[in-house]
Formats: sequence, structure tokens, C-alpha cells
Amino acid sequence: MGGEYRHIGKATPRKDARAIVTGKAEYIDDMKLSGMLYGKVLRSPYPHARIKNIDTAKAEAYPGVKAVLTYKNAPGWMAGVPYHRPVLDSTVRFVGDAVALVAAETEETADEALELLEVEYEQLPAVYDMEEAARPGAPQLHERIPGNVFPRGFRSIGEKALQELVMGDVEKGFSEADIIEEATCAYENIPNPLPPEPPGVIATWEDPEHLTLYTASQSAPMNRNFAQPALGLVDIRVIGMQCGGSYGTKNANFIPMAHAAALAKAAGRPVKVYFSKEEHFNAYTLRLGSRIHARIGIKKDGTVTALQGEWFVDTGAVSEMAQVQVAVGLGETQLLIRCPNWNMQPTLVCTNRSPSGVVRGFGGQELNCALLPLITVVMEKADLDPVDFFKKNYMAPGAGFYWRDGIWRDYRGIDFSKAIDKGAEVFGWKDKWKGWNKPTVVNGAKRIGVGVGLHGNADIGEDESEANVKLSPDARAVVYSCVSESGMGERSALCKMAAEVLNLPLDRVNITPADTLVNPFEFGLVGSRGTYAVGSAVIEAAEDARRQLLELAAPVLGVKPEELDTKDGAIFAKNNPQKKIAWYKAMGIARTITGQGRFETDFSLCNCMIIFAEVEVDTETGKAELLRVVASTDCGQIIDPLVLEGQLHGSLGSAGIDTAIFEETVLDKDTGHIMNCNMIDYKWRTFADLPKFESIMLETPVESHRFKAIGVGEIAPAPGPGAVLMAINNAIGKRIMTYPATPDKILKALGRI
Amino acid sequence: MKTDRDKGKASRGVATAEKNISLTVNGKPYELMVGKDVNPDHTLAYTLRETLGYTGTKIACDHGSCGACTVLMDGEAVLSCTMLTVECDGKKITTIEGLENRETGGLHPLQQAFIDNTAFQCGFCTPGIIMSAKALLDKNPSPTEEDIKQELAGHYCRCVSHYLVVKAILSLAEKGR
Amino acid sequence: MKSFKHVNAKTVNEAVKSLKEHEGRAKLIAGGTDLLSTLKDKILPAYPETVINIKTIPNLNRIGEDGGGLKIGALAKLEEIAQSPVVKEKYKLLAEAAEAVATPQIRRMGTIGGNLCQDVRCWYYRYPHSVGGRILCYLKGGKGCYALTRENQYHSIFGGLRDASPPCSSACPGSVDIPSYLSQIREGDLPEAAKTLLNANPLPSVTGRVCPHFCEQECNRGDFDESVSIRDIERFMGDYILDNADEIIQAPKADTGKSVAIIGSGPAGLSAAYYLRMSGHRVTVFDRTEEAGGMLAYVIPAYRLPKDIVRRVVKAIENTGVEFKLKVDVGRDVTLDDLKRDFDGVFIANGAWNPVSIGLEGEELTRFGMEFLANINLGVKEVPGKKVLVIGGGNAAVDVAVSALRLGAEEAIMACLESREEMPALPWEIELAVEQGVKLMTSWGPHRVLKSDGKVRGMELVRCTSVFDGQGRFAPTFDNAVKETVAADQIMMAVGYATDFSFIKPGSSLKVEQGLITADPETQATGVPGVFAGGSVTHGPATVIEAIASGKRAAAAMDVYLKGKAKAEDKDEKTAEPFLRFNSDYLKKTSRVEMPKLPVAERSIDVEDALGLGLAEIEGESNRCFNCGCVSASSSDMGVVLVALGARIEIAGPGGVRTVPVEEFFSSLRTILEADEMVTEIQIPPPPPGAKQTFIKFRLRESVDFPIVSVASVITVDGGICRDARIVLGAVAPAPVRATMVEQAITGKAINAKTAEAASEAAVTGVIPLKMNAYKVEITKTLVKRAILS
Repeated sequence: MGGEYRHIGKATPRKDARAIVTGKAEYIDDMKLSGMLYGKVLRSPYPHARIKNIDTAKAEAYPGVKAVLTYKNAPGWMAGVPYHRPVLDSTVRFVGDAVALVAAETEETADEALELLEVEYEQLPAVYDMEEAARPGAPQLHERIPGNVFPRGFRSIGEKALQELVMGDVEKGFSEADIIEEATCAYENIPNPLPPEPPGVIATWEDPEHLTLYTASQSAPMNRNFAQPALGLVDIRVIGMQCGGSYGTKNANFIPMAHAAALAKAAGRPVKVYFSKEEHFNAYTLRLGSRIHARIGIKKDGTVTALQGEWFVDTGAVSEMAQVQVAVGLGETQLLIRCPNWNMQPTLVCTNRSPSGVVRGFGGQELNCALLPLITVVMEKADLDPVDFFKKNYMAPGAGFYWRDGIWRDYRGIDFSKAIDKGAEVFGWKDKWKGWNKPTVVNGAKRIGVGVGLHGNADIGEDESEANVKLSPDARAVVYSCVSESGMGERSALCKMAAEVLNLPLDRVNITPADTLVNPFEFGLVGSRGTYAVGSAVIEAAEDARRQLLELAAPVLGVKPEELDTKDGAIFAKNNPQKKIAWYKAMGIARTITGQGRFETDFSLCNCMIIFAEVEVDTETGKAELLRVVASTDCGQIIDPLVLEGQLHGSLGSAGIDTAIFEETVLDKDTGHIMNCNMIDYKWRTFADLPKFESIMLETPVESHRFKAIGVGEIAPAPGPGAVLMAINNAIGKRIMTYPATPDKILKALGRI
Repeated sequence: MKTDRDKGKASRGVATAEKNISLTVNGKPYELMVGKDVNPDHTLAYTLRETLGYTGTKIACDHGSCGACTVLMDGEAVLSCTMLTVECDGKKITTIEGLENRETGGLHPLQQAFIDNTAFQCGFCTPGIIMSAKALLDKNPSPTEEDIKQELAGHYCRCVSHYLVVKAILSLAEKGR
Repeated sequence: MKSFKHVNAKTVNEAVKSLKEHEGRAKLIAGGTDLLSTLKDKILPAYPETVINIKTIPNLNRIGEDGGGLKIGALAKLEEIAQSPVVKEKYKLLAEAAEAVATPQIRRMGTIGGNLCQDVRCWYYRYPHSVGGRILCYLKGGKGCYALTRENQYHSIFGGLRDASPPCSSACPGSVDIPSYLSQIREGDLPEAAKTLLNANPLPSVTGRVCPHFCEQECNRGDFDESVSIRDIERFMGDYILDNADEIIQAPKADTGKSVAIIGSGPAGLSAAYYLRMSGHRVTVFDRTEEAGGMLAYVIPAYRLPKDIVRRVVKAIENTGVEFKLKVDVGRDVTLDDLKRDFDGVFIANGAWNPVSIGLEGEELTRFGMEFLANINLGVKEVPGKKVLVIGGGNAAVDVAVSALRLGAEEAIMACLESREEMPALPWEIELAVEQGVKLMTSWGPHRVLKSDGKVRGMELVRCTSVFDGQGRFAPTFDNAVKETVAADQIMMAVGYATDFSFIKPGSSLKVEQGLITADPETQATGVPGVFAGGSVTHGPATVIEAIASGKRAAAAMDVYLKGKAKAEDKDEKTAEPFLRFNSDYLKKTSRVEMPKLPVAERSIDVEDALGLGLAEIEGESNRCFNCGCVSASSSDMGVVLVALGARIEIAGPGGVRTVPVEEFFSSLRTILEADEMVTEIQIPPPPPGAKQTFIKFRLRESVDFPIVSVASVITVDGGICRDARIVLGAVAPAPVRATMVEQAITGKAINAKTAEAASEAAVTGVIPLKMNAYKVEITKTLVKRAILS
């Protein structure tokens, strides 16, 4: 790791480490603006209702209340594709949907004012199942989404955006198959990624054309990029605060942003909207629900000849960008399974449950987890070792895929068989794997089983980034990149890359706040694009700055720029290191140098994560316990081993691996209430329940990146649920096709109940 | 509002304890007047953050189920969101802001260990975890891995920094041995 | 959090006194870990005014042995208990359970008292108010236990527990404990069911025929598929009671020597007579009529309520020693003052029999509908007219119209102010009238009687535009421009009745206002000592069950008055079964049984239309009852182990201190603590020396979680043979469950796999898993087996 580099590949303290461990890191709830009001939301008790009337008089008259908004007087800003999510509406579509907004001097006052709002509802029939919702005669949620089925496609990712996966000839494919299996499998336990910090935004209007947002976002610039068209292109300045976890959910932050901005506009003062944990559970973002009716054909050797099916995607009452999630998911599936004949038809359906949104896994995890049980069935029929199957079928040089924009890409990245083999070796797969439906160990009522899952994404080079690097004569550098910090250490990684290019000590390189006023364009820290996409822009900017610096130094030293090098704030001739000057000698003291960098989308690479799981099942109680996880990847070049390891550990959290064991959102299907909406009944992994976790991080250089690196953070959880389910099935010798495998399901599969 | 409600009715039955609440936070004494600085329904977490400005203590679930608000009270790790300030009279509180050496500004060894091990990702749960770890090490300078896991069992960390947190604390525990 | 007042209690007495003074509007705070969450989520409709801190009470956190047992103060923290050397050594079970609660921080803050008193844990109960509004389950005064039919994976597998009245009983003016008698029918115990029914209603054979059964409208099953046919079951039970009246309705064992006069033998009078007699008083019922029963005998048509039924009911009451003095007109033959003098108490329930005049032009030519009905019951069966117009939209109007047709009228028309939806008559009564051929003219008001030759020719009606004002008060408005003329040769008025108060002398201290005697709604007391009044004379014409209820209330209050007691004794006998049981197939969608009726063509004036149901149908229908109760699972880890250890709980209240066994402490939802009581100490006898103590808590995670199932056991084994065992199951019912069947299954047996297997089966005898929690049955079996073999 990092043998040839000064910073890259070494574990270095995060730039914000001291702030975090001393409590000085400033999160959105720690921020107070002068004159700031508190915004609160009245939430619907019904899954679907028309608001017949709201009497706001008492709330408006309540001392300390500065603004009350309902659908009657809220701004008409809209989000979603097509636009279907207003700031407030006369129809509420899930339990917890916003009915009215109040801004007041204190939180308590705002809360009390909510109780004074008198609302008359007309209840409407509700629907919670995606297929029921898509049938004729189902309750209709949105005028703009007839039949509850979203139109396919998403213009901003291209006119030909992947709307379905059709290639080759499936009938021919099936005719070539030795084994054909068909099943309905689902990954629809709609878990909550549930970052510890609830969502929140502070909005303040400088004037009617200038809005400033302080945001707890994973991708601060996205708040601007998404909101600006919705808000009629007023100028939005976004300042990203330290973000207390996101896992995809806190990217565009449209709803807290719209609520805060609308209230701030109405009250003429800054307004903070910060969700409570209860709101976070009920009214923010859940994973997409995913269900497939699919058919797969394979040859005995594991060659997949055809895959055909319908993919239902439940977006909940509203969707952020499910069409993109579907496009990416369809793309990722081709990475998982190389198959010449496809016909996979997605249907995106809205239902009266909480909204879905961007969640780590972004469509791919949802499709992978729904497909894996089906693939398991054919592997079992063919008696194939799943490791061999994955190795045979995962994307490799020489193959290709249609990506989200509908364009074919020839793959030109790493061959991941090494990572698969290394993972299997460390896990001891060959010893533990006893064949399908066979436990590895039987110890009385307890049985241990093993499973494996795999996933990859070609998102590491998605979308555009720009960065500047400013050099100052005191031999310091500042990276201008609009990247906020939500846990991936990306701001530090970018500093490391710039420091590496400039050969400066790390503490000489800083990065600007994630402020859209200051920084060049940035798409946002989504997918696994930080290392390659954002990193490449920063590297290019640093190289540009370095070039300018050396050009300035050349005449001073009388050496050609290309014969010069720089280290620790000195510029010297490569062939005569004694001939050197300090930066300020080259630059003068009244100058800075700014280098520019830009990254253009590159979809020709992908990453890969393999997860091996060992699970012990108590066949008398039905409890499944995760004993051991081996996560294996090849990231080209590690930027920071501890940060990367943390990201791999993260596969347990953020609605990942544990969605196969106990993590789920329990919806009361009579009323649409989320029942387990508290941190006792929503199950998350505690320190007392940690499995053994081993991370394998191989480094096969990726030539596209200066430091040969690609990101893998986003996909870490995706292969986990399928692996764990497979392990449980092998332990008990029975098949469970839905997540999570809670004791009731396991006991049922075992025929005990 | 609260004064309106409190007005008039004398409290029933029991002598009221309405008086100043004395708190020592990170060695600094505070006198908080009930009804003015502190209302009966204020939690300690609220008082620390909103009244006294110790925002290093985080509130996440606000229901005692996630550990983010953990502070030390007379040396014990407790949940400040699940405790009324009016019931903390005379208590000594230590928050994350109180760990640095006041004279030198140097970090507490635990803080340094967390930095050295990158024992956090988003960092939101970190102050609470560090406070629990501090209470544990104060009582038991050389806890085992199991001791650490049990002690931290009430801390929610969704990024899953658990492994590196345990490693960071163990690095000090080994020094304690 | 919403604001509250906060006080520090320095002593237990102070705390209890404060609780009492707050009358339920104060909460104690100890650890606060449960209370503050419930306050923040505003899960309860009532928010406490004051929070009383008891941490300031000294010495309430002691842990120590004393006189051979262990005593733990209610404020001892769970962590202190888990770490206590004496607990760890001798009461290991307790230390293990304390260690298993929640998280380290919670254990350092939470107390043993708080753990025992923690509020109900159920997703519906705990749903936060801030999102979607609190869910008003019936435990919070709402209608149903939502977990019973919905998301119940963590709930009870042994049935429910009731804390408040179920919706059917709440809706019943007579508060009949419907689910209990349905349960008793389900278990095949008809005599017990009869007793339960008679506790609230002495006339089930009557109400089973004529009561509107508000209970069915509120029945939770109605939201699920169709409400239970409570009325038909009640009719069956009423007839069963009459058939077996000799055994079921017996004279009281002892007389009190006090006497009561009851004026009126209608449902209110009969009800009061029955209950007063059951309390041992001598009862004399006066009525001016020839037969007892009031409206039941004279007004309600026989095709709805056969007169034979009324006579048998009266006879059964008479057989208990109640004396009926009929054809005695109080006011004429005997005065109220005579009665007051001759009896220790008087109950006035002479009903409402007089016509009400509405000031209609030509009203003198109309006929009073009630008189028409009474005549029929007296045997006068004349054709009332060819074309009969009935004015009124209530049940009496229906009876008049239907009776007129059955007596041979060619046409019967009901005209009423109300629209069809607003008509006060019950929907099925209106259906019956329509079936019979009655024509409805809704939203019409009588304007004037058309006459010629001193004879009725018809009536002019005007359009009624609205009946009620914005406040829902009766204030009809008319559009005089819209008129309609109806030809009729007989007009019957059925628009109300009034009481004849001529028996009350002018200057009497009895207060009569707006045609009603003023009486306390709780006790029916009139303000004149010893004189009570009920039924129509106090609340106007209403349903039979309302009259019965007022008679029962009066009887209870008069009993207090006569015996000079402080308070009526209203102790329900505890049933042997600790939890509410329901049919395990309760969730199959089923239709309610419909009672067969005579075909319309065969219906007559004096034969009952409805044919009744048989026992099998009644049993089937009672199987449909949800037996609504709270099916939450008790989650107190300390509770389970304390039952296993045979502990007692010391409770302080305003009246002093009491101690109860832990099992009794949990015998009611949210424990038996009254609002002004607190737990002060837990007393644990030493476990048998050498006994093996085991606590197994099954949950998905090793921390944070409440148990899904837990087992606490104290087993003494000697030479491989189990000599003694206490085994308790947690989280499987609304309270810890002492598994006596398991104890019996292993005591005296060798402890081995076979015994454990048999015992594990015994552990789940009688389980009634809900839709989603059958898996808990398996887990319970496994845990019991493991506890025995551990």
C-alpha cells in the first residue's frame, strides 16, 4: 500500500479529525443564525386524503408564530420526474406527509402552533402494494402519474436513457439453456438508511433573488443544482455543513430545503427545518421496494443464456429520481451477469407509503437482491459453486454493457477474478462450502451455513466535476472543490491527491468549504465517483497549478519547466537538486496561481465487491446470527486504508447486509403507518452484535487515474443481503426467498410453524 | 407561555424545589435559574446545547436509544437527552468539549487514538462514543475487547465505525495493562 | 416536550400525597428513561400537569438482605442490582435479568421500580403523536386494539387483558359485559354466561328482541368483516334464562329488612326491582295497569315482543319475592306521601304515556298512536281505517304504521320531518316497514288536518327544509311554498309522549323541569331523601336498555342509601382464566349469522316475526367475537424473574403501605397500581438452597432489544430428580405467565431430554397465537426446554 507515494495509500488523519473528536465539527443543528426561526411540519394522519379545509387563524395568532403555510399559500415549487412533489399540496399521500408548515421563535412555540391548526380531511382509498397500485381501478395518487406508473426515462441522463434492458433474443437464449427457472423474488422490506443525524436545512433569503442554504448534505452542490430550476432559477448559494451520515439520502434535500425556504420567504427571516427522529423514520426516505417475476436460463457450465422478466419498483408516494435508479440498476445487473439475451421490463409504481429516494445501492442493490434468490435456484439446479459462477459471469475485459445512458460500453477496467479468489481463500470457501442446502457445521440445534454475493457499478466515473487548486507563495495549496463531508473522508482524500501532485506536506494543503459561491461546478459526492471523477478533476487542477508554478520558476532558475520539480515548497532542477528556490521566489509575494481541472463522464470502468458471509442459525428458535463477513475488493490503489476499511465495514449499516437478518420497515397495511418507527424497534447492529469482519483490498492499477485508483464505497453493502440469505438457506437446507430472514420465516421454512 | 401556565397555582402537596440549579460543566460552574434559564421540561442535552452552547453533545433520537447524547455525570456515562436538567442540581458534567487538556490544549489520549485509527466516518455519534469510552477507561484502564463492545452497546453508529472504534480504545487499553 | 411542573418529593408520603392531590394528572419520575420518551412522543391523550421527582427520597435505593430475604428499594438502579455481590451470589437470576435490560446507559439510569412500572410496549400504543397523530387504541380510550388484527409479531400468544371497557360494552347504555358472556358461551358455560348478562341487564329476553344494540355498531369486528350478532345471541340467552329461571334467578339469601316502593312496572321499574331485590330489600311495584311491564306489555307490538315473554320475565322477578300491586294508580289510590311514609325508599318510573300536542289545526281529530298500540295489546283488533297516515319518524311511528297494515288498513303512510337518513327509527325497523308496504314521506311537516263533516279527509303537508340547527338541536324549518296533500281517513300521531305528573302535588319538593323529573345522572337521586326516579320520567322517551340502565343505577344508589354504605360494591369477580381468550380462528373472514324471519305474507299482528337462533348458531357466532383486549406483551425483564423468585412488591398509597405478590401486581394492564400509589420496595425470599436459577432472554440483538420471549426458572434438583420448580414466561402475554403446567410436568421427574420435551409442550398449552406471532410459540417451547436442561 502506497509504496511509491508520499501520502496516497497511507493512513493519514482526516482533515476534520480534530474537529470531530473535540466536538467542534459543526453540524446543521449546531448552527444558529441571528434571528433564526424554527420551522415545524404538521403531518398527515392518513395515508391518502384530500384536505378539505385548514383553519390557520388560531395558529397564526399564537404569540411567537411568524409564518403559517398551507397548500393555499405555499410557493408552487415542484420536484420529481415528472414534477409531482410540491412544497405542500391539497392531497396528502402517506402517513406523515406534510399538511402545513409553521415558523416560530422557538421550537416549542412552533410545536404548540401545529396543535392549533384545524384540518378537515376527506379520506381517500389507499394502496400499498406496487402491483395492486399498477392495476386498473387502483386508488390514484398523482394527476401527473396516470395509473400510478411513472413514465420511463430521465432526460438529464440522456435521450436514450436505459428504460428497459432488451438485447439479443431471449427465446433463442432459453432454447439454448440446460436449466430454466422462474420465480417471483422480492427485496421490498423498504429499510431506512437512517443516518444518525436527521435531515435539516437552514434557509435565508438575502433578497427575493438570492437564497442561501446551509445544508446537511452528502452533496451540497446538488441542493443548488436540483433546487434552482424548481425555484424558478433564483440564485441559490449552498453551504454544506458537516453531515452526520447520509448513505445517499441527504443529497438534494429537496423537502427540508423547500420547507425551510418557503417559510423563510414567508417570515422574512432565516428558518431552520430539522427533522425529529420520528419524522426521519416516517417522512423522509426509504429504499425502493423491488420485486421481480423473472425467468433465467443457464447452461450446465454456468453460462447464462437468457434472462427475462418484469421488475416492479415501488417508489412510495413520491420519488426523487427512481428512473435513474432503474437505469443504473439495469446497468449494474449486466455487470453481475454477462448474458447475451435480455428482456427486463421495469415498472415504476407509486404507492401510499413513505417516499423513496436515493439510497446507497441506488437501484442496483435493489435489483441484485431481488435477482439473487432466483440465480441461487439455477445455480443449485446446475450444482454450481456460486463463487465459480460469479467469477465466470462478472464483467471482465473484453465484455461490455449498456450503461444508464443507453449507450454500449466496452469494459476496460480491472479483471476482478483476483479479488474473488482472494476473498474465497481468506474466507476458506473451499472448506466451508459443502454444496447447496448443506450446512457447513451442525452443532445440535445450531447450524452454520455460508453464502456469497457480488456486486459492481460503473458509476465510478459518472458525471462531471470541476476543481481549482490555488497555490500561494507561502507554499500552501487550497483545493477548490465543492465537496461536503458526510463520512467518506473525501475532502481529505482530495487534499492528499493535491499534496501528492504538489509534493507538499499534507498540512500545507487545505480545501475550501463546500460553498457553491466559492467553488467551481461539482455534481456531488454520489455513487463511488469521489476517487476517480472528483479526484481526477483535483489532480488535473493541481497538475495545472504545478505547471504554472514551474513555468514561473523556469526563467528564475534558468531551467526549462519540464526539467523542474517541486517538493515541500521548493522548486529545483531535477538533475541538480541543489539548484532550487522557494515558491515565493518564483511567484513573488503578491500572486497566487490557480490551476483548473475538469472531469468528463467516463462509464467504461466499474468496481466490484464480493461479500462472503457465515451465518449460524438456531433451528429451534429461528434466529440467524451473522458470525463472519469477508469483504473483498480491488480498488486499483488505496487512497487511505482506514477510510476504505471503514467504508467496507459500512456494508453492515445503511440498510445493507442486515436487511437480510433483521432490518426492515414494518408497515401496517391497513392504515399505512410505519409501526417500528423508533430506534428500539427498528433493528440496527449494535457493538454487542459484531460479526468478525475481514477486509481484502487489492490494488491492481487502473490506468485511467493518475494514482490508479477507483472508488468502491457505494457498493459495499449491495452484495451482502443476498450472501446472507444464501448462507441462511444453506444452513437450514430450505429456501427463503424474501428479506429479512427473521425467526418467523426461518421457523416456517423449517416446517416448525 | 410557560409563565402563564405556572402562574397562580401553587404546586400541590410538596414543597417546590424552584431555585437555582448548580451545574459544573467541564469544570466551569453554572447557576441556572429555574423558570428563566431552565424550564422543568428541559433535558440536560437541551440545556448543554441550547442554553450553555456545548454543541459537541449531539441529539439524534432524543429518546435514549442511540447514545449520541452521552455525557459523563459524576464520572458515569449517562444519556443527557433522557434526564431533566432540574434533576441535575449539584452534578458535575463532562462533555466532549471537556476532554482536551485545558492548560496545554492537548488532546485526551482517547481523542488522539480515535484520530490515529480514523475511528469515525460521519462523526456524529463520535462524541457520545468517546464519552462512554472515557467512563469505561476511567473505571477499568485495561478493558477487554468484549468489555468495550458491551459498554458501547447502546451507541448507534450507522457508518459502522465499530471495528475501528474498538481498535482505537483497545490501543489505550493495552497501554493500561 | 410540552411543559409541566416539576416537584421534588423528599419522602414517600410527600410523593403519594402529591399524586393523590393531582388526581391522575401527575407522574412520578425515577430513572426517567421510559417516562420522558412517552412525554416527548405525546403518546397519551392526557399530558401530566406535574412530574414528581422521587429520586430525592433518601434510602429508597438500598439493596440488602434482611430477615433471610432480599430487600431492594424501588430506586435501586438496574446496574447496581446487576453488580451487587449479594444479588450475584444468591439471586443470580435477578442480576442476569438486570444485566439484560436495554443498554449500559439505561441500566445506570433506570430503576427496578421503573422497570416494573414501565408503560405498555406496543407499536400502536407507542406511536408518536408528531407523525400522523397518536393512535387511539382502546387502552387510550379509543375503539380497538389494533394489534389484535394487524401487526402483532411481538404481541401476546396467550390472549389479551382488559383495562378499559371494550367498545361494545362502552356503547351499551347498560354496560353489559358482552365479551365476557360471549366467552362463557364459547367455553360452553351457559349458566355463567347468564349470570354475567344478568349482572347488567335483567331483561335480556326483552332487549334481545327490541334493543337497538348500539354495541353492534361499535363492534370492532364490523371494521374487519361484519359485526357480531350480539342481539340474536342475547335473545337466545334471554330465552335460556327464562327457560331455566328457577335455577338462574333465585331469591336473595337474606333480607335487609328495608322496603322499597317502585312506581311503574316498565323496564326501569323492573330493572330496579330486580337489583334491589337481589340486594335483599323488600320490593313492591305499583302500576295502574292490569299487567306489569309498562310499554313492554302495552306499547311494543307482540310481533316484535311476544307478550308471553313479558309475562314470564315479570313472573321470574315476582318469584324472587318482588310484590306487584297492579291496578293501583299512584296519585289516586295511594299518594306519593303514603309511599314515602310506608317504605324506606321510593323509585319513580311511571314512564311517559300522555300525548304531546303539536298545535296542529285539526289535531283534535287525530288519534294518539300509543293509545292505538296499547289497545291492540289489550285485544282490540279493529281495522283503524282504510288510509292511515302516521305522523312521526321514530320506532313508534313504524310500529303504528305496520300494525295498521297488519290489522287490515289498505294503505299506511308515514310522514316525517326528517330525511330518510335522519329518521330516528332504526334502519332495520324502517326496512321492516317498507317490506310490509308502508309508504314513506320524508322531509314533510304536518300543516293542517283536512276535514269535512267533522271527519278526517287527509292532511296538508309542507316541505321541511331542515330539522336541526347548526348545533344539532331540533329546530325545523319549512318551505311553505311546497305543499302536498295526502288523503287519509285516519291520522295517527306518533311524535312523542309526556309523563303525567298529576301524582306530584303542587308544592312538592320534587323538581320537575320541562316535563322531566330532575335526577342525578349517576344515582338517579331526586334531591328528596329516599326518592329516586328513572326511565322516561327523567330522561324522556328512550330505548328499553336506557331505562334498564337507569333502573340499575337507581338500585345501586338506593342500596347504598338503604344500607348506609359509603360506596356501592361493584367488585367484579376475577375469572379463573388470567387472559382474555378468543377463538384461534378469529381472523377468518366470516359473515354474521342472520336470524330467520317469517315471510312477509305470513306476518301478523300477534305472532313474532323473528324466529330465533339455535345453540349451534349462537356458539358459532360467539366464536366470532374478538374478545377485545390489549394484546401487548409485558416486557419487564425484572417482572419475569421476580415472579420466578416469588417476590412481593411493597406499595405505598395515601392509606398506607400494602404488599402484594408480584403476580398480583401484574394482574392488570399497566399493573394494579392506583394513580396515587407507588412501588417502594421489592421483597424477595431466599431461593431454595442449591436451586438452579436460569434466565434466558430471546431477542434479535444482544443489546437494546426488549425480549421476544423470556424464561426465568428456579429449579431444585436432587439426585437428578426435580424437587421443586418455578418457571415463568415473559413477553408472551400482557403479564408474566407462571408456567404451572411446566412446573407440574417436571416436578418429581428426572431432569432429562424427555422430561424437558414434555414440559416444553406443556408450556404452550392453550396458546392462542395471533396472525403473525405463531413463531413465538416455538421459541417459548425451546426456551423452556433449554431452561430445564441448562
